[in-house]
Amino acid sequence: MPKTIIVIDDSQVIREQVSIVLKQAGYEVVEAEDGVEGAAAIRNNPGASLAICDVNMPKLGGLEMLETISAQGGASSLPVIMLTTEGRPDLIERARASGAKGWMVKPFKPTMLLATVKKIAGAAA
Amino acid sequence: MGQRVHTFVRDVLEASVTELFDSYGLACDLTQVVDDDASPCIELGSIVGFRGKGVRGGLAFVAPLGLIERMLPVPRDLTRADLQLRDWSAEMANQLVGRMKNKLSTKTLDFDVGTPVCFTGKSIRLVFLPDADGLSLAFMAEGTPVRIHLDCTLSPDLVSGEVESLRIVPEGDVLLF
Repeated sequence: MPKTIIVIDDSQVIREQVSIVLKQAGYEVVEAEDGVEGAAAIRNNPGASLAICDVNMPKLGGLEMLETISAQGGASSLPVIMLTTEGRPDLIERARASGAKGWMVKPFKPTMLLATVKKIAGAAA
Repeated sequence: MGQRVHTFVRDVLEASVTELFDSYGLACDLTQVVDDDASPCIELGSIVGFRGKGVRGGLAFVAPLGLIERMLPVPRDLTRADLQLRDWSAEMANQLVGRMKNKLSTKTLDFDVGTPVCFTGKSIRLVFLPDADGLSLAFMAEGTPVRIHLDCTLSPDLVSGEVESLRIVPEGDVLLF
Protein backbone atom coordinates (compact mmCIF):
# COMPACT_ATOMS: atom_id res chain seq x y z
CA MET A 1 0.00 0.00 0.00
CA PRO A 2 1.48 3.38 -0.99
CA LYS A 3 2.50 5.80 1.72
CA THR A 4 0.48 8.99 2.11
CA ILE A 5 2.02 12.46 2.12
CA ILE A 6 -0.01 15.52 3.19
CA VAL A 7 0.83 18.66 1.18
CA ILE A 8 -0.24 21.97 2.78
CA ASP A 9 0.22 25.18 0.76
CA ASP A 10 -2.07 28.06 -0.18
CA SER A 11 -0.71 28.04 -3.74
CA GLN A 12 -2.63 25.53 -5.81
CA VAL A 13 0.23 25.45 -8.33
CA ILE A 14 2.80 24.60 -5.65
CA ARG A 15 0.52 21.84 -4.29
CA GLU A 16 0.15 20.45 -7.80
CA GLN A 17 3.90 20.72 -8.47
CA VAL A 18 4.73 18.83 -5.27
CA SER A 19 1.95 16.30 -5.88
CA ILE A 20 3.20 15.51 -9.38
CA VAL A 21 6.69 14.75 -8.06
CA LEU A 22 5.34 12.56 -5.24
CA LYS A 23 2.72 10.71 -7.30
CA GLN A 24 5.28 9.92 -10.00
CA ALA A 25 7.38 8.31 -7.26
CA GLY A 26 4.39 6.22 -6.13
CA TYR A 27 3.17 8.13 -3.08
CA GLU A 28 -0.45 9.02 -2.39
CA VAL A 29 -1.08 12.70 -1.77
CA VAL A 30 -3.65 14.54 0.34
CA GLU A 31 -3.79 18.30 -0.28
CA ALA A 32 -4.78 21.14 2.07
CA GLU A 33 -4.76 24.87 1.31
CA ASP A 34 -4.10 26.44 4.71
CA GLY A 35 -3.18 25.58 8.29
CA VAL A 36 -6.78 24.94 9.34
CA GLU A 37 -7.32 22.44 6.52
CA GLY A 38 -3.84 21.07 7.14
CA ALA A 39 -4.51 20.32 10.79
CA ALA A 40 -7.76 18.59 9.79
CA ALA A 41 -5.95 16.57 7.11
CA ILE A 42 -3.37 15.45 9.68
CA ARG A 43 -6.16 14.44 12.10
CA ASN A 44 -8.08 12.62 9.37
CA ASN A 45 -5.07 10.74 8.01
CA PRO A 46 -3.47 9.09 11.05
CA GLY A 47 -1.59 6.69 8.82
CA ALA A 48 0.15 9.43 6.84
CA SER A 49 3.93 9.17 6.62
CA LEU A 50 4.86 12.83 6.23
CA ALA A 51 3.46 16.36 5.88
CA ILE A 52 5.03 19.04 3.68
CA CYS A 53 3.88 22.44 4.88
CA ASP A 54 4.18 26.09 3.79
CA VAL A 55 4.79 28.80 6.43
CA ASN A 56 2.92 31.91 5.26
CA MET A 57 -0.69 30.96 4.60
CA PRO A 58 -4.07 32.61 5.17
CA LYS A 59 -6.30 31.59 8.12
CA LEU A 60 -3.51 29.73 9.92
CA GLY A 61 0.21 29.73 9.08
CA GLY A 62 2.31 26.58 8.99
CA LEU A 63 4.32 27.35 12.12
CA GLU A 64 1.19 28.25 14.08
CA MET A 65 -0.43 25.02 12.88
CA LEU A 66 2.60 23.03 14.00
CA GLU A 67 2.73 24.78 17.37
CA THR A 68 -0.98 24.22 17.93
CA ILE A 69 -0.70 20.52 17.15
CA SER A 70 2.41 20.24 19.31
CA ALA A 71 0.74 22.03 22.24
CA GLN A 72 -2.22 19.66 22.01
CA GLY A 73 0.16 16.73 22.15
CA GLY A 74 -1.11 15.36 18.87
CA ALA A 75 0.49 14.02 15.72
CA SER A 76 3.89 13.91 17.37
CA SER A 77 4.81 10.87 15.32
CA LEU A 78 4.07 12.54 11.98
CA PRO A 79 7.23 14.04 10.51
CA VAL A 80 6.78 17.52 8.97
CA ILE A 81 8.99 19.33 6.47
CA MET A 82 8.47 23.06 6.03
CA LEU A 83 8.52 24.26 2.38
CA THR A 84 8.66 28.03 2.24
CA THR A 85 10.26 31.18 0.83
CA GLU A 86 11.43 32.04 4.36
CA GLY A 87 15.00 31.27 5.39
CA ARG A 88 15.36 33.01 8.72
CA PRO A 89 17.08 31.08 11.55
CA ASP A 90 14.55 32.13 14.19
CA LEU A 91 11.67 30.72 12.14
CA ILE A 92 13.64 27.54 11.46
CA GLU A 93 14.28 27.19 15.19
CA ARG A 94 10.54 27.64 15.90
CA ALA A 95 9.79 24.84 13.45
CA ARG A 96 12.44 22.56 14.95
CA ALA A 97 11.19 23.25 18.47
CA SER A 98 7.68 22.26 17.39
CA GLY A 99 8.87 18.95 16.03
CA ALA A 100 9.50 19.66 12.33
CA LYS A 101 12.10 17.41 10.71
CA GLY A 102 13.33 19.73 7.98
CA TRP A 103 13.21 23.11 6.27
CA MET A 104 13.28 23.59 2.50
CA VAL A 105 13.41 26.97 0.79
CA LYS A 106 11.43 27.59 -2.43
CA PRO A 107 11.81 27.25 -5.30
CA PHE A 108 12.47 23.59 -4.67
CA LYS A 109 14.32 21.17 -6.90
CA PRO A 110 12.13 18.10 -7.54
CA THR A 111 15.07 15.70 -7.13
CA MET A 112 16.00 17.25 -3.79
CA LEU A 113 12.39 17.20 -2.60
CA LEU A 114 12.03 13.54 -3.47
CA ALA A 115 15.35 12.60 -1.89
CA THR A 116 14.32 14.39 1.30
CA VAL A 117 10.91 12.70 1.36
CA LYS A 118 12.50 9.27 0.85
CA LYS A 119 15.01 9.95 3.59
CA ILE A 120 12.34 10.87 6.13
CA ALA A 121 9.31 8.83 5.05
CA GLY A 122 11.04 5.97 3.29
CA ALA A 123 10.21 4.58 -0.15
CA ALA A 124 6.67 5.01 -1.49
CA ALA A 125 5.53 1.45 -0.77
CA MET B 1 15.26 56.34 2.00
CA GLY B 2 18.59 58.06 1.69
CA GLN B 3 20.57 57.64 -1.52
CA ARG B 4 22.88 54.97 -0.05
CA VAL B 5 19.96 52.93 1.23
CA HIS B 6 18.04 53.47 -2.00
CA THR B 7 20.99 52.07 -3.99
CA PHE B 8 21.32 49.12 -1.60
CA VAL B 9 17.64 48.22 -1.78
CA ARG B 10 17.65 48.64 -5.56
CA ASP B 11 20.65 46.29 -5.86
CA VAL B 12 18.94 43.71 -3.62
CA LEU B 13 15.73 43.96 -5.66
CA GLU B 14 17.56 43.62 -8.98
CA ALA B 15 19.51 40.58 -7.77
CA SER B 16 16.35 39.00 -6.36
CA VAL B 17 14.47 39.39 -9.66
CA THR B 18 17.25 38.03 -11.87
CA GLU B 19 17.87 35.09 -9.52
CA LEU B 20 14.17 34.25 -9.36
CA PHE B 21 13.82 34.14 -13.14
CA ASP B 22 17.07 32.20 -13.44
CA SER B 23 15.71 29.56 -11.07
CA TYR B 24 12.85 29.01 -13.54
CA GLY B 25 15.24 28.86 -16.50
CA LEU B 26 14.61 32.33 -17.91
CA ALA B 27 17.22 35.05 -18.44
CA CYS B 28 16.05 38.39 -17.08
CA ASP B 29 17.95 41.68 -17.33
CA LEU B 30 17.37 45.14 -15.99
CA THR B 31 16.59 47.47 -18.88
CA GLN B 32 17.61 50.56 -16.90
CA VAL B 33 14.64 52.43 -18.29
CA VAL B 34 11.34 52.50 -16.44
CA ASP B 35 8.81 53.04 -19.17
CA ASP B 36 5.86 55.12 -18.07
CA ASP B 37 3.70 53.80 -20.88
CA ALA B 38 1.39 51.05 -19.73
CA SER B 39 1.56 47.80 -21.65
CA PRO B 40 -1.26 47.27 -24.17
CA CYS B 41 -1.35 43.51 -23.58
CA ILE B 42 -3.16 41.65 -20.82
CA GLU B 43 -1.02 41.60 -17.72
CA LEU B 44 -1.18 39.92 -14.34
CA GLY B 45 -0.02 41.77 -11.29
CA SER B 46 0.42 40.65 -7.70
CA ILE B 47 1.04 42.78 -4.66
CA VAL B 48 2.53 41.55 -1.39
CA GLY B 49 2.68 43.73 1.69
CA PHE B 50 5.30 43.45 4.41
CA ARG B 51 5.77 45.01 7.81
CA GLY B 52 8.20 44.64 10.65
CA LYS B 53 10.69 46.32 12.96
CA GLY B 54 11.39 49.66 11.32
CA VAL B 55 10.30 48.59 7.87
CA ARG B 56 7.03 48.46 5.98
CA GLY B 57 5.88 48.54 2.41
CA GLY B 58 4.67 46.52 -0.51
CA LEU B 59 5.95 44.98 -3.71
CA ALA B 60 4.10 44.67 -7.01
CA PHE B 61 5.13 42.16 -9.67
CA VAL B 62 3.56 42.89 -13.08
CA ALA B 63 4.11 40.70 -16.15
CA PRO B 64 2.20 39.70 -19.30
CA LEU B 65 -0.07 36.69 -19.07
CA GLY B 66 2.09 34.82 -21.60
CA LEU B 67 5.21 35.10 -19.48
CA ILE B 68 3.46 33.80 -16.36
CA GLU B 69 2.27 30.88 -18.47
CA ARG B 70 5.83 30.16 -19.64
CA MET B 71 7.05 30.11 -16.04
CA LEU B 72 4.29 27.76 -14.88
CA PRO B 73 5.96 24.63 -13.44
CA VAL B 74 2.94 22.36 -13.97
CA PRO B 75 0.83 21.50 -17.05
CA ARG B 76 -1.65 24.20 -18.06
CA ASP B 77 -5.16 23.38 -16.88
CA LEU B 78 -7.57 25.00 -19.34
CA THR B 79 -10.58 24.32 -17.11
CA ARG B 80 -9.26 26.81 -14.58
CA ALA B 81 -6.69 28.70 -16.64
CA ASP B 82 -7.25 32.16 -15.12
CA LEU B 83 -7.12 30.85 -11.58
CA GLN B 84 -3.98 28.85 -12.24
CA LEU B 85 -2.08 31.80 -13.74
CA ARG B 86 -3.26 34.21 -11.04
CA ASP B 87 -2.12 31.72 -8.42
CA TRP B 88 1.30 31.48 -10.06
CA SER B 89 1.65 35.26 -10.42
CA ALA B 90 0.91 35.58 -6.71
CA GLU B 91 3.43 32.86 -5.89
CA MET B 92 6.08 34.64 -8.01
CA ALA B 93 5.50 37.84 -6.01
CA ASN B 94 5.70 35.81 -2.82
CA GLN B 95 8.96 34.14 -3.82
CA LEU B 96 10.39 37.51 -4.90
CA VAL B 97 9.63 39.12 -1.54
CA GLY B 98 11.03 35.99 0.13
CA ARG B 99 14.32 36.40 -1.72
CA MET B 100 14.45 40.07 -0.84
CA LYS B 101 13.73 39.29 2.77
CA ASN B 102 16.43 36.65 2.91
CA LYS B 103 18.96 39.11 1.48
CA LEU B 104 17.90 41.99 3.72
CA SER B 105 17.38 40.13 6.97
CA THR B 106 19.66 41.14 9.78
CA LYS B 107 19.27 41.09 13.53
CA THR B 108 17.98 44.64 13.33
CA LEU B 109 15.89 44.37 10.17
CA ASP B 110 13.13 41.83 10.04
CA PHE B 111 9.64 41.78 8.61
CA ASP B 112 6.61 39.59 8.18
CA VAL B 113 5.25 39.00 4.70
CA GLY B 114 1.53 39.18 3.92
CA THR B 115 -0.59 37.13 1.57
CA PRO B 116 -0.40 38.18 -2.12
CA VAL B 117 -3.30 39.90 -3.87
CA CYS B 118 -3.59 39.45 -7.64
CA PHE B 119 -5.09 41.71 -10.31
CA THR B 120 -5.32 41.58 -14.08
CA GLY B 121 -6.07 43.93 -16.94
CA LYS B 122 -4.77 45.89 -19.92
CA SER B 123 -2.79 49.11 -19.73
CA ILE B 124 -2.04 48.70 -16.04
CA ARG B 125 -0.15 51.65 -14.63
CA LEU B 126 0.94 51.76 -11.01
CA VAL B 127 1.62 55.16 -9.51
CA PHE B 128 3.15 55.80 -6.10
CA LEU B 129 1.56 58.24 -3.69
CA PRO B 130 3.37 61.59 -3.64
CA ASP B 131 5.08 60.93 -0.30
CA ALA B 132 5.90 57.30 -1.01
CA ASP B 133 9.47 56.05 -1.11
CA GLY B 134 8.93 54.18 -4.35
CA LEU B 135 11.27 52.29 -6.59
CA SER B 136 10.24 50.98 -10.02
CA LEU B 137 12.43 48.70 -12.10
CA ALA B 138 11.82 47.40 -15.61
CA PHE B 139 13.27 44.11 -16.81
CA MET B 140 13.22 42.11 -20.00
CA ALA B 141 12.73 38.38 -19.54
CA GLU B 142 13.35 36.55 -22.80
CA GLY B 143 12.10 39.59 -24.73
CA THR B 144 9.07 40.18 -22.51
CA PRO B 145 8.75 43.21 -20.24
CA VAL B 146 8.43 42.74 -16.49
CA ARG B 147 7.85 45.59 -14.06
CA ILE B 148 8.58 45.56 -10.35
CA HIS B 149 7.36 48.33 -8.08
CA LEU B 150 8.61 48.54 -4.51
CA ASP B 151 7.22 50.95 -1.94
CA CYS B 152 9.43 50.62 1.11
CA THR B 153 9.86 52.76 4.18
CA LEU B 154 12.90 52.04 6.32
CA SER B 155 13.67 53.56 9.68
CA PRO B 156 16.88 55.63 9.40
CA ASP B 157 18.06 54.11 12.69
CA LEU B 158 18.21 50.69 11.10
CA VAL B 159 20.45 51.48 8.21
CA SER B 160 22.89 53.91 9.76
CA GLY B 161 24.19 51.55 12.42
CA GLU B 162 26.08 48.29 12.32
CA VAL B 163 24.17 45.43 10.79
CA GLU B 164 24.88 41.81 11.49
CA SER B 165 23.98 39.40 8.76
CA LEU B 166 22.08 36.23 9.57
CA ARG B 167 22.97 32.82 8.22
CA ILE B 168 19.98 32.26 5.98
CA VAL B 169 19.18 28.92 4.32
CA PRO B 170 19.60 29.61 0.58
CA GLU B 171 16.75 29.18 -1.90
CA GLY B 172 16.55 25.62 -3.22
CA ASP B 173 18.39 24.16 -0.21
CA VAL B 174 17.09 21.83 2.45
CA LEU B 175 18.06 21.66 6.10
CA LEU B 176 17.27 18.47 8.02
CA PHE B 177 17.03 18.54 11.81
